[in-house]
Amino acid sequence: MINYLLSLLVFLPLLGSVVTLILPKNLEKQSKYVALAVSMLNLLLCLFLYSRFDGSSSSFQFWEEQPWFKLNLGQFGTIGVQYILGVDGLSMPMILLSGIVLFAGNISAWQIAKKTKAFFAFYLLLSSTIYGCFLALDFFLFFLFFEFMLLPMYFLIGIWGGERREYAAMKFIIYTLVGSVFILIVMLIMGLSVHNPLGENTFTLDFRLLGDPANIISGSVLDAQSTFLWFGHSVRAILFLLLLIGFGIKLPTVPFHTWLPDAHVEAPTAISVVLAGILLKVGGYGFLRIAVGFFPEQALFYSNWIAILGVVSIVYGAFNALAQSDLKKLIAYSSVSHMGFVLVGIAAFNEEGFNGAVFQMFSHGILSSMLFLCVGVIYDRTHNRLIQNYRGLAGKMPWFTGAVIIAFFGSLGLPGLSGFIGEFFSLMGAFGSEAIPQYFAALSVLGIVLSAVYLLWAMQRMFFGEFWVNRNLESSMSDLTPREHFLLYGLGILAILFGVWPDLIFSVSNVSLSDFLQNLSLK
Amino acid sequence: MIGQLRHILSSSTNLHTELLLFLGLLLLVLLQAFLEKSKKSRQIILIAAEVLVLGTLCCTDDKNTSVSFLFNGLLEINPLITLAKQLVLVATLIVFAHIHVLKYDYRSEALILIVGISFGLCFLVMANHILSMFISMEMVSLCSYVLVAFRKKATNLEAGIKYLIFGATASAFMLFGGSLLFGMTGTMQFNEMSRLVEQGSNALGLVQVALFMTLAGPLFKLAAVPFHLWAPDVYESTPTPLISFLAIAPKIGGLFMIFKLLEIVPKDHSLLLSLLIILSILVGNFAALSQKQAKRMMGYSGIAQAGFILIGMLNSENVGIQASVFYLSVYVFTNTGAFLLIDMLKQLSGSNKFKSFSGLGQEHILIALLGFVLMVSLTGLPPTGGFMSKFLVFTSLWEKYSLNSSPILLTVLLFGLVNTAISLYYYFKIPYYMFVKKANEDVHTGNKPSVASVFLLVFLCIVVVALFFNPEWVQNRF
Repeated sequence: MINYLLSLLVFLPLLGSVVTLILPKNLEKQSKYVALAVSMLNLLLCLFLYSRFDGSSSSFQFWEEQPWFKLNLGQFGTIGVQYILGVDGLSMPMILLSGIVLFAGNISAWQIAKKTKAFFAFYLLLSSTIYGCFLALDFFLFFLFFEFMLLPMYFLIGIWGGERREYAAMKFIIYTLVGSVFILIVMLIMGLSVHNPLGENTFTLDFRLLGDPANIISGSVLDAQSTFLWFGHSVRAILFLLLLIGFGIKLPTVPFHTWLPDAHVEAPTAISVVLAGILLKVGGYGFLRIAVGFFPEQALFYSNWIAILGVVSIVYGAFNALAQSDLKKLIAYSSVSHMGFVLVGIAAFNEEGFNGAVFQMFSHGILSSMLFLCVGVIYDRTHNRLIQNYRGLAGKMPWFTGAVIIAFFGSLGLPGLSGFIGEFFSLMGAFGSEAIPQYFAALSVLGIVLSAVYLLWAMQRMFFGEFWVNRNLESSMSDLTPREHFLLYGLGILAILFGVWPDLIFSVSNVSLSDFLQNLSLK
Repeated sequence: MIGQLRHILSSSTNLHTELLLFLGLLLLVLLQAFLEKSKKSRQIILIAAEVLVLGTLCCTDDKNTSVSFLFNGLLEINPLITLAKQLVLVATLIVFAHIHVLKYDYRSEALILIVGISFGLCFLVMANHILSMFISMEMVSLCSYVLVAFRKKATNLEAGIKYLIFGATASAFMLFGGSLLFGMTGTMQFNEMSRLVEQGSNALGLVQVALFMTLAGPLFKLAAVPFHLWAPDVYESTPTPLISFLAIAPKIGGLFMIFKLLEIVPKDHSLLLSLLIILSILVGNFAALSQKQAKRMMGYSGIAQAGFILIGMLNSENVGIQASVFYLSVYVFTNTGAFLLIDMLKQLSGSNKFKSFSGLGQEHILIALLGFVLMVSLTGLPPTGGFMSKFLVFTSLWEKYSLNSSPILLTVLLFGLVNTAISLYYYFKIPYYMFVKKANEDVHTGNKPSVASVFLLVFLCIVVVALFFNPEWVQNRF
């Protein structure tokens, strides 16, 4: 059984999705229990994997490998696609995060009243692809899950979203599809330039083999001495840039971020939570694992540009957040800003930076979920998210205010909360980096200051002072329900837990990431 | 004399598909002549035609046939060609099933014409000679013209005339080019021609011109730019099951002809082909974006798909044609499925307009989900056969590029991939209207599609998805 844990993690939600779909109409209400049971089982599985994970080893664990299919490409050879799943220190935090956020999202989706059956079927399908994406160790398999993620998301935003949901869903899917087309190009080229040392005349998409330059066919476009040029640039550099854009759209980084505020604002709360909590991390994860992992020289060469993208995202996102009057939009832009630290950390090209980037992804997953849930609380009660419509909520909703305080302070990087650790290590990496100049790190600090400004300002406007709510919403402004208590404070406790005990993540990620870094510099 | 007779006899043994179809065709005509003209007898003829095509399909399985030329090089047969014949027959069968499950009551001549077209196509894919190509091409074309103009409505007639005029022009070009080729090489056999062209390459430029003129015919069948102008009108006005057939089957014949013709001149054709591909994708995709009517959208998207099919031709090695044939195999199931879907939606909503599909997804979730699968496959996203076929054609293109590193090939690759993303916009209109848009109650006629039609759609979708997980099914056939 233990040999198939990862497959179970991927296919359990898929099974749940099918079960939900075939539930008869009079049992439609029960679909949320099916979904909850699956999410809970998955969370338990993630925790189990986490507890059994050997942090002192950098190798892939819980390995599963099956040949899938071979495509005959004539005299050119055959290309072998495998079903490979495995976890290492880079994917383990992401898996843990997925378990937590998908569970939280599921609970928050309970109030969905419209077509619940279909909603939870799509939700479980989405869960399945997310786990698959983090676990897959074959490029084809990764791409399959990566691309398939778009389809349930399209419907989840398009059917259950807000007023401009159709526009947002279309924008989301076209942006991310263009991104994945870029990744597809890279996959095609890599798959046909790397040969499997075990097979005669066989190409491979196996991550381990793709990462090893010894397997690159000499004379192919990926060859370091390759003479293939496209308008004067080496193909390797172009492939790296394609990956940068492809994953940059998902991350998202300025200037490819414009789909994000729209998608966030229109998506229902649960989907905003999943979008911010996990989907953005797929971009960061893919960038580190694939773009940096397979093209280290190019990554190092372009590290200044990556850092610039990161810094611009941090500052530009923060300024944009400052200008928003819609609370959800404010948080969406703050996501752009906070994900910028991931890029800065990666660009630093040292252990602190990489660890910081991974921790920042994890922490942002928890905190942004919390932030979007907080917006959900207000929106549920009043169907309005404009900051100027509320004042002095603290007096009327003390528990809610407490949760918001944790989320805001965590997000602006108060020591003792998880956001601090991620930003601190990313910046420490950036300051100590040999790859990028230090003023980039200094500029990123500006982002922290700005985030304090927009978060505290929003807080001051909404929660302090005399209680006042626009129009006749007063009666509906009640404090948290037990479900919301559980969700917000559960996540809040996690934010504090990981903030005071960051080793929970570092002990898992550190060895893998330093080995990863060492392998990169050996090349 | 005896030797020649023997050759003819041994050649004929390879033609059992065509002989069966031919005998069946005669029987159908006889049957139609003797039965009285009633709905019931038309049903009988439909069932007879289905049995005929199914039987022929079962007999068309000679995997062991190696490459050989029949009738003194008039025809050629190899496993890939056998697969093409099977594809033609499968398409015919699906279309008959389509007519059957949606209870269309066509005049039996239409059914006989469809069998006639597949008969012609079986010969077309085998053709290795200018005459056999021309004759089988005309067999296909003439039947198609009649089929398009079958219903005596003004729009049908207009589409029929358009189809006829463009087709006749293309045929004229083809015949002119073919006669030039004959004049320059002294032979009408393609394989002989390529040998002669290779030996004496003094007039290579002129041979190329002649070749491109000859390509007009197959490009017309494929609905590729610049011979695409008929497609949208014909698609829009022809009854859905018939156009479902005409949208896919002639493409199979066209592709095989292009492959054969390109082999005549051993020179690199990538520049011209790339241009055709880019234009086809461009014209098809961008015109499809603004369509408001599903069948017309399919017409334009068919032009773009023709461009994608041709990408395999850029690679002159076998892997290229194999990729294109795989593309076609998936396309047969996906496209016929898409037309079946559109037809079912029309039954439900009373119109082919996207707008009238609004909200159908909520009432008929299964049909809508199946339609979604088909549209995903047409776009080329995983996990469907459509993704695998795009993957294969681009892989074959990349192989060619890594051998000669010509920038135009890389441009085609990037262009094709980006256009895949664009095509998503119009293919997704159908699921978009079905799921996301609110229903407008008064329009829906509520004519529930039959259970059999849903089953057919399920079957097609299963094949489309299965081809993603098991591409070997097609690949092992050649």
